Amino acid sequence: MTSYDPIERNLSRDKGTDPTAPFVVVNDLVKHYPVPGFPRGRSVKSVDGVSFVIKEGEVLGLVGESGCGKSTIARVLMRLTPPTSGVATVDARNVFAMKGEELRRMRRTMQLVFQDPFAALDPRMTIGESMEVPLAQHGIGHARERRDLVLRMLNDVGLDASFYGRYPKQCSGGQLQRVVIGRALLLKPWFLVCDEPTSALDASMRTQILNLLMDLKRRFSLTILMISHDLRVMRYMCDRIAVMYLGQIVEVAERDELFEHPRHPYTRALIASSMLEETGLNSSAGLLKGEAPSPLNPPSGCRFHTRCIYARQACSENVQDLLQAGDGHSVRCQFWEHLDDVSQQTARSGDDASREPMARAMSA
Amino acid sequence: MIMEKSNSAAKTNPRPGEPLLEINNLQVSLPDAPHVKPIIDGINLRINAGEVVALVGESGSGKSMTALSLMQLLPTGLKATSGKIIFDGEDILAMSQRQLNHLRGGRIAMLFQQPQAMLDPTSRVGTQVAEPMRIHRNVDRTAAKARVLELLGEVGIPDPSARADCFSYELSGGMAQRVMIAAALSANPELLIADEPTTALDVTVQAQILKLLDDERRKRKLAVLLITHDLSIVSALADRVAVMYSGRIVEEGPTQRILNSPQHPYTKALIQCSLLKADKDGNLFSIPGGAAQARDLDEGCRFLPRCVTAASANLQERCTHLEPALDSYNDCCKARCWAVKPDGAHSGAHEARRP
Repeated sequence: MTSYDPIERNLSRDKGTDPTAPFVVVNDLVKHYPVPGFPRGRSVKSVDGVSFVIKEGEVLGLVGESGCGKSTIARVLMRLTPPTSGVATVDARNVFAMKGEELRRMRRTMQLVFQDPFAALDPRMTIGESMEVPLAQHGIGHARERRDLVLRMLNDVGLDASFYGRYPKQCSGGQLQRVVIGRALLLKPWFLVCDEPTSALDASMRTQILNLLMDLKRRFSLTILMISHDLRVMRYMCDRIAVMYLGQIVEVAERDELFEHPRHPYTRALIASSMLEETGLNSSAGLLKGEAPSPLNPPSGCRFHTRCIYARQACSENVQDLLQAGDGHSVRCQFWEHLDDVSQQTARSGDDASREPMARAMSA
Repeated sequence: MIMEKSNSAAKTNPRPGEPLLEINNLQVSLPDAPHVKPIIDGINLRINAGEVVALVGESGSGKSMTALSLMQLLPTGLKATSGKIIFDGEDILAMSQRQLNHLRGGRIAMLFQQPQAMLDPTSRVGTQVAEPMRIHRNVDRTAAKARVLELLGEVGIPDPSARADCFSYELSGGMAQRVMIAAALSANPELLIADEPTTALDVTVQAQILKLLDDERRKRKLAVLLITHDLSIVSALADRVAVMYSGRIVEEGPTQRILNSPQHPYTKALIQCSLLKADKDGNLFSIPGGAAQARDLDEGCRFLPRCVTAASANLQERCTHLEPALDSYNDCCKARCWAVKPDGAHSGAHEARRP
């Protein structure tokens, strides 16, 4: 790290930690939001048994539709809301067990970048004031030092010093997203959670912000949990990708493996829908039925069976666990090996009779 | 169908392939603030009956304002100061309030980005879908009710009779957009303006909604003005595309031609940005700077501060002082760039505007 830095970056790192162990470990994370007015036990099952690991310096992507629990995971990990159950460790420390001073110190090492930069900044504070708050909160430096740090960070994220005195309304969305990213990095975190950092931006701004994030990741050696519904962003940013559906992870794989050999029917539909220029409207719209069911009352058995074009009787009955589908590739579908036979048969038999051969291949 | 007998205009409607809407040299500006440059500066665009034309560009390029001026729904303070919008032979800008009311929702319908914000939270979905046909097509209550259920079924809403009694807040985003489509189609319009119809939706739902739009417009021979910043939507849906930059159209032509061999540096850059493919150093292509810079220019090409072509083609001098006109570069495509057409005409608008 640069010499001007009054923050001891190594503050959070246990010297004794095994460097090969995963940096972030999330185990069986559950978050249920009770529904007011309903009898006890009725709750929105926002996150329902999610486990994943992130290695140091890795970017893990979390994709899924709105309402699948992606952002809840971000909020729970950041201790912005308490988990219902489960364990999460960052750098071998249990995040959920922390209290008081330990938690405050921990917050320095984990930062969150929100989706909407306009909402993440106080409209009545200048950019500079907003960025200094976390420094002051953690008692770093004097006023002048803090100002210098902020100015340096503005430079790092590609903005000039004039932004220090500007108000959010005087900046564009892309500029504000740079400010929000810079503010998150001021405390020199190790672990950054980005919750849809580019979905509020134009295509041209999006690439600028993604380039900035990748550049900062290298310079600050960050470990990133990237949340998005845009698979093209994922394909660029992430080393590994986890696909979520209704509070569960349905598929995890290395990036290239996931895009070349998607195993879960939902992953296939997602990829087809986000690559419209390659797949065309007909194939992508045909891969998925209806809309996501409410997490208030998730379907029995495999949660995806109500929308799956390959679904059959057994899918609504058996609860599905994650299965190994290759090296580092897991999938939550009991028929994942047979999906390809099915689509080949369908291709041969033509589109009209597509449902029949599919069912036959499944039962074979 | 119920529509046809009450729709006397149907006989004279333009047939597919004939121009339905023509925007001629449209300029939208702030009359109360003469120092502010026009928001839309001399747009020419034609939409034929039954054709899907996409308007793409970054936010702030004037896409949505173009759409709103078609409906004469511009925000307070903004005004179409010159030009014409000819819809089926009549100038929308010269129409009376009464004629406009006849047009809005009747012959021209509009879809918005935030379906839930656009539906009335205090009235039932069925009533809102019925409204355009009740007002514009004089359909009676009973017939309208039956037609609403038919329409809701057509746009893929399960259990239409139950859904017709819902309020908008009881619907998901995808369902609400389906209801909006049903309401837009209710009076059998000839032109549908879809302003970022799927931006607020999930990718999976987006594909379904786009498929629905595509099916409906083919079935009804409906002309669509599609406004979006997502080029993959354009490639899936549009027949022709016009690329806007800073209140001007910079390139226009058939979708496949423009997307496969773009000529204007901005179109090229936009396509490269949307691909999100990293180069060998792992960096994404991005357009330097922001669109706001264009507003400060007094002369020359508006894209120049962000253009990579100008320097390499040794055109810096010319691009700084003269703005190229939107000129044909082959049988069907037009572009506004000196590098594409070095001997082309220049647009005099800058000079005319200078004090």
